[in-house]
Amino acid sequence: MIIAVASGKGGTGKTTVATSLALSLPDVQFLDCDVEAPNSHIFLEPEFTDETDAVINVPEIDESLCDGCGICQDICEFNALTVIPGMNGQQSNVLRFDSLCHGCGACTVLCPQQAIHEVPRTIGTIRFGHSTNLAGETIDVIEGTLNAGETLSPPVIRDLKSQTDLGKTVIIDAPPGTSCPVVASIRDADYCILVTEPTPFGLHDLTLTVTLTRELEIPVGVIINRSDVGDAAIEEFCYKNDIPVLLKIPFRKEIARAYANGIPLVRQFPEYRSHFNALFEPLEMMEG
Amino acid sequence: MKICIPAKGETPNAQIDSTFGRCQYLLFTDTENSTTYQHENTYREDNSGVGTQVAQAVLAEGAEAVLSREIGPKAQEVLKAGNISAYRVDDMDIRDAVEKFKNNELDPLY
Repeated sequence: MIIAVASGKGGTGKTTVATSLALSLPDVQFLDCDVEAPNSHIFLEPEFTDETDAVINVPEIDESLCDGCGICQDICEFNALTVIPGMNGQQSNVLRFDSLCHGCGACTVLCPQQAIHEVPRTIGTIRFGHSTNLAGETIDVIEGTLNAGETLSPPVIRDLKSQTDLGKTVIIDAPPGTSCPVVASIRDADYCILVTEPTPFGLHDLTLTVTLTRELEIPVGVIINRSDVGDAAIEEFCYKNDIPVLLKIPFRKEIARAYANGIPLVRQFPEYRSHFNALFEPLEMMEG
Repeated sequence: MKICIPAKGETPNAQIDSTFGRCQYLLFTDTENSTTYQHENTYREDNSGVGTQVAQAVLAEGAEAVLSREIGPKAQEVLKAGNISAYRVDDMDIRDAVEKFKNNELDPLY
């Protein structure tokens, strides 16, 4: 089954939860989909053995076939192509803005002159490796990284997720927010764990994320991190919306200190291992 | 010579808009006879590729120069491909900017 760990707000503890699950459960494949800032490797310390390019297919235009009709420009939703009409008998010219291209392929399909073909453009890297869980078993770790300066992470996330091994318990560490990268990360998940904190910011962004997961029809449960600071609004929200609170992690200086040293929660505090195992059991039964 | 100025309003009394792609209006004026007309910038609310579309609108109107405070790199590329020159102006009203252009007092933007 596929379990995604997400949260609207950044810094709530997604990676803490995702890596703790990965270290506690057997037979895990871990996908770090936070490709703009993948940091699960700090806690899982995988040994990476292989890597591939993450690519997006962008149009290349054969100017000798192009008659400057402008259809490619008109159909491009993201204005990645600009046709400069030929002046004074000169050939028209198509300017390509790769950073705007989402790689949908519409221009290639719809060019009446068949002057467009697609070429891969590297926008990131996918790394493959292995780590070891608390029981000494192997965790498959795959991590995506979006190259600096690139703006489109969903293609990297899709490339990364194409490696999903459904024979394993797949843990997805999603990026923060509620926009396209998150949709790309959590889509197809069987269950989504939403990590939040009991602050007005935590509640606001949790509300947005629940709206998103409802739209995607993914069942959710909530983990409240730093649960003994702030107010009770998160629990009230969960109660009203029939969302189970799976776990509460109190604020402890020792937890923060372990995190700051890159030590996974379940390694420093072995009692959490049973907490994470316990919250996984009903999910597994739901799948069964 | 027809020139284009991104404008906050519909007349030459308006201020120059601070951005090119997301300006309110595109004001076109003929430096010989001062004939002026404007288009509302319908692209300004788009998510991406605004500058290139506005630059292309400038091309389509047959303007030969743009007076602007700034022009983004993609819009610049389109203007250059269309052989349109661009000149840098400060925060001023359009009438003053056009006068400075006519007196060759403006620096090229690229």
